Amino acid sequence: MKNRLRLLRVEKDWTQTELAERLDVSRQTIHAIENEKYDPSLPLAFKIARLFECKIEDVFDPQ
Amino acid sequence: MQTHNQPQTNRTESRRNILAGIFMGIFLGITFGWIKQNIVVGLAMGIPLGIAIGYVLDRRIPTMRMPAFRLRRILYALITFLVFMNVSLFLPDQAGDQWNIYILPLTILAGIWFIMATGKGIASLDEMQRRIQTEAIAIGFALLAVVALGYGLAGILVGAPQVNWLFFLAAMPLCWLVGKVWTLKRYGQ
Repeated sequence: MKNRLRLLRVEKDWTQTELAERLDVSRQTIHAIENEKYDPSLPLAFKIARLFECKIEDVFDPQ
Repeated sequence: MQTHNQPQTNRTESRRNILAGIFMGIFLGITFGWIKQNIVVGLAMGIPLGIAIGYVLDRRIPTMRMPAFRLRRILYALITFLVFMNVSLFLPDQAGDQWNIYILPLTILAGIWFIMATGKGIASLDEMQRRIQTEAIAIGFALLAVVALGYGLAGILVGAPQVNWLFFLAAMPLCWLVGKVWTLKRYGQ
C-alpha cells in the first residue's frame, strides 16, 4: 500500500526514531512502513492519522 | 535525580544480563559437554556464547524492542529447562526409577515455562516485530519438519546414521533463526 508517511514526517522535521517514540513502535516499523514493505494494522493507521491530524486516506492510498 | 540514577540502573542491568549469560553458557557447556563426552570443550564453547548472549541482552537487541526483563525471564526458563534435562540425562537409565518419575514432570513443566516466557516475550514486541517472529517460527517449524522427514527417509533409504534426538532440539532455534533472517529480509530490515 502506498503512503505519505515519510513526507508527513519530514514536514514535521521528525526523525524516524522520534516518530517511532510518538507512536510507541520500533524505528524498524516506521522504516518498513515508509518503504511500503509493511502495511500497519488499523489501530496503528488511526494513530498515525491522529498524530498528523488528517484522515487515514490522506496518509494511506490502497491503489 | 533521574539522570543521576540512570547510569547506576544501567550498570546493574548490565551486570545481571552478563551474569545470566555466563550461567546460561555454563549450562549450555555442561549440556553439550555431556552429549559429546567432553565437558571442557562444552564449557569452552558455552561460556563465551553465554557471555555474548548477555552482552546482546545488555544492548537490548537493536532490531527487536523486547523489554530486558522479558528476555531475562526467557533465559531463566531456558536455564531451568536445561538443568532438569541434564539431571534427567544424568540419572541412572532405569525406566520406572523413583527419581525418574519426579524429574520427568519437572522437565516438562520447565519446558512449558520456557514456551510461555517466549510467547509473552513475543507478545511484548510491537506489531511488525511480532509478525516477523511468528512468521519466522512458522518457517522454522516447516524447515525442521522437512529436515527431520528428509533425514528419517535418508536413514531408511540410504542407511544414514541415527542421530541423537537432542540434535533436533538444537536444530529448532537454528531453523527459527533461518526463518527470522528470511522474514527480516522480506520486511526490508
